[in-house]
Amino acid sequence: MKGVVFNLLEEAVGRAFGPDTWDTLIEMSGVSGVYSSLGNYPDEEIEALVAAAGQALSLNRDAVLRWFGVNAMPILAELYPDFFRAPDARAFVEGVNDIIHSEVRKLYPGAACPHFRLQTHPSGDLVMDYLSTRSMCALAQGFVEGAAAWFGESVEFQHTSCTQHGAPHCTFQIAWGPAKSETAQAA
Amino acid sequence: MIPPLGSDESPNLQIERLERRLAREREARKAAETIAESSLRDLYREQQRLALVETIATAANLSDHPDEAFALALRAICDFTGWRVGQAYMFADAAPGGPLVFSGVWHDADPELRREFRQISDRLSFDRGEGLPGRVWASGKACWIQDVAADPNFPRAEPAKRAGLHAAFAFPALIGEEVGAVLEFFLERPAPPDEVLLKTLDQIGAQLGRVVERHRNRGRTRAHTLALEEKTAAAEAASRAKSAFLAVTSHEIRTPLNAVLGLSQALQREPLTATQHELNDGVLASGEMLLRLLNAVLDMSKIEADKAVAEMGDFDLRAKLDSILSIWTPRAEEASVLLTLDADLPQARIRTDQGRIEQTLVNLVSNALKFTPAGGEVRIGAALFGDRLRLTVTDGGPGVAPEDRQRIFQPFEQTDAGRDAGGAGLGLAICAGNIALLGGQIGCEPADGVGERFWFDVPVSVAAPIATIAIASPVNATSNDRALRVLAAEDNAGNRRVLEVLLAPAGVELTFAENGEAAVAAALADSFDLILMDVNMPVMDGVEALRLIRVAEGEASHTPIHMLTANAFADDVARYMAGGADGVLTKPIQLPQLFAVLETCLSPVAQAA
Repeated sequence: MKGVVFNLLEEAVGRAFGPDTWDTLIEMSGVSGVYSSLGNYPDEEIEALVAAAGQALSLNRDAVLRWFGVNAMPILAELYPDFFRAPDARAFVEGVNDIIHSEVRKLYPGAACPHFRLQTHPSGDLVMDYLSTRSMCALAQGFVEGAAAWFGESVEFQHTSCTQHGAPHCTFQIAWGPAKSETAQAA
Repeated sequence: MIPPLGSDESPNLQIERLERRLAREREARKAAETIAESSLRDLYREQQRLALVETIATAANLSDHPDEAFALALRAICDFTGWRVGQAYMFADAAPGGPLVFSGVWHDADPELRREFRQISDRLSFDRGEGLPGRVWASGKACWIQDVAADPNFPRAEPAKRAGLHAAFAFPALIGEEVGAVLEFFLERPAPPDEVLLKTLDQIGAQLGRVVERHRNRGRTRAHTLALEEKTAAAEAASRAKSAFLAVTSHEIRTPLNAVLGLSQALQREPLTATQHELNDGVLASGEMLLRLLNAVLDMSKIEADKAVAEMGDFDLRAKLDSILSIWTPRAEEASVLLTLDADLPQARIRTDQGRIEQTLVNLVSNALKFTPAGGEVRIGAALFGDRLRLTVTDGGPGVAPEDRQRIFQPFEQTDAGRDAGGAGLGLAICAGNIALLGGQIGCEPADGVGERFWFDVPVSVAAPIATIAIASPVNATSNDRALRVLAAEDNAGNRRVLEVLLAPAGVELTFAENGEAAVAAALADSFDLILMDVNMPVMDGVEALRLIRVAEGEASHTPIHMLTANAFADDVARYMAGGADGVLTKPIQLPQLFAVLETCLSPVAQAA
């Protein structure tokens, strides 16, 4: 996993709970905690940090990843404003492979970005297949929900199939709508 | 919510925790710097690598010879890798199939130190699979040896050790898949393969292959050019041999033809029946035709050699056209073609080369008859416009395709129709040559209605009105008190007989000499009114005999001498005249000309009488 993801997690945790909380997660998970955005670090370390956060918050892994996705989005918008020039959340999400990840690969050579297969459901919803070895579909969901919030839209995210339930890959069906006051900020 | 961790910490614990955080931050910064420095190094090396590839690509594109490109590549690769020695191997031009040999191109950071190694590399040659160059040749790929001292297939291991060389790599200059040359490099210590370098070498190898390929192609082009030059020389030699053959053949054919025509002409004077005359006329006409053919072939060879000379003379064109019409009418009738003449000419003799005009016209008429189907018409047209004579021959054939109109006047260029008709592709070329020689123009164009109109026009001068030409008759000759005394030097018995027959009615007193020596002896011993001197004779030729008679003392040296020869070339005639001849009679002997010569000799005889 690229160091930039660890930095992002640190920033999200720091903003939500203060910098001391990150120290606690480092110590609870037993990782080195030394992360440079340019470096590569074992996937086990991000899993250990997520597990520690889950333990502290009494949340499962998916819930932590989803929280991370939602809360990482405003930080990403500050760091990479160019990615957020899309007209709406759907266009932003649809540009994930060709715009966002292609730029990520330029900045971080060797980054193993997941691939999303996109198609439009007969209903008009966006159908995304999530193809990754890391099983972080909940993080993807968090990112989609965080993006909707950033663009001031509501989103309905259905996780129609999942590798954790034996499917060959995860599939999401996503519909966007105008903002609803409660969904603007996810948990 | 995550509990507010650390809120109940003691200040000491809090300080320790913050120190740990600071230490983490420092380490992360150090790691980031290390990564950045390494990236910069990679970037620099990548730039160097690209510069190397570019340098070699440029060298390969601009170099005229592989040696230049190799020298540059060896130095550039040594600079890039820090390796010490580079050497290039090629296939010898004379042995493109191998083995690989040292090209003589090398680079060495310390040339003196490794002189022996280089000399040994120069002496060896490498078969496919043998040693480092041979292995690269066999695999078509770059090859790396960690330490040549420990390599089982490295014949130069000992000298390499003495030169302090250990690691080696080599790569091919590739022409497509084919190895065109091999470049090898050495380092002074063992080294493991460098994958990035090997990949770069593949790119460089393809670039260097281009210069080798260009070199090869140039070599092939040179060889091809040499082969062409040899062929051209052979063709020119063959052409000279052909000309020589034609000259000899011409002489050999003219000699018996002289007899045929002469005897036939003599026979005309005999009291023959009408049928016999007709048969004899046939012999005479065929013989004359044979002579014309012979002249045509000679003409073409002369035209081809740019040696043709126009022989200008006055003649009656109208009569000539009538005669051509009458000669060709029977053939036209055989083919059920109507041959007509439409001549708009003044009653005047014109001056041009009669033979060439006739030959050109006859060729065109003959062609026209070939291409005109039965029931068709061939029209000969003649008109004089000021000082230009224009002759046309219009056939009733299929016509000539516009794209062929130029081409058919070139030697051996024919249309398919011409080939089908059995032509040799020479006729129109001879016509074009003739007309060019006379300063005229020739061409063809579609005729009005059906067929093709071939035309030519030549500048002519209009001579005096036609007068009856008095051919000296035998009666004139015999009207003198004594017969003309003629000495004829002629080695050929047939030709002696011709002269005898031709001159008999003139009442000439004929003495024969069978060679030049005998002719000189006879000329000095006796007095003659005329000497007819054959040129080619055994013992002494006619030219030498002419010279000896002219330098002799006494009356004999003034005797009129006319050369009698089948050597019909203009430069021969000039040579005889310069040698003191009074005239030249060309075999086959034309009776009117022979009598004209006799007539010139009459007056002194008459006076003497």
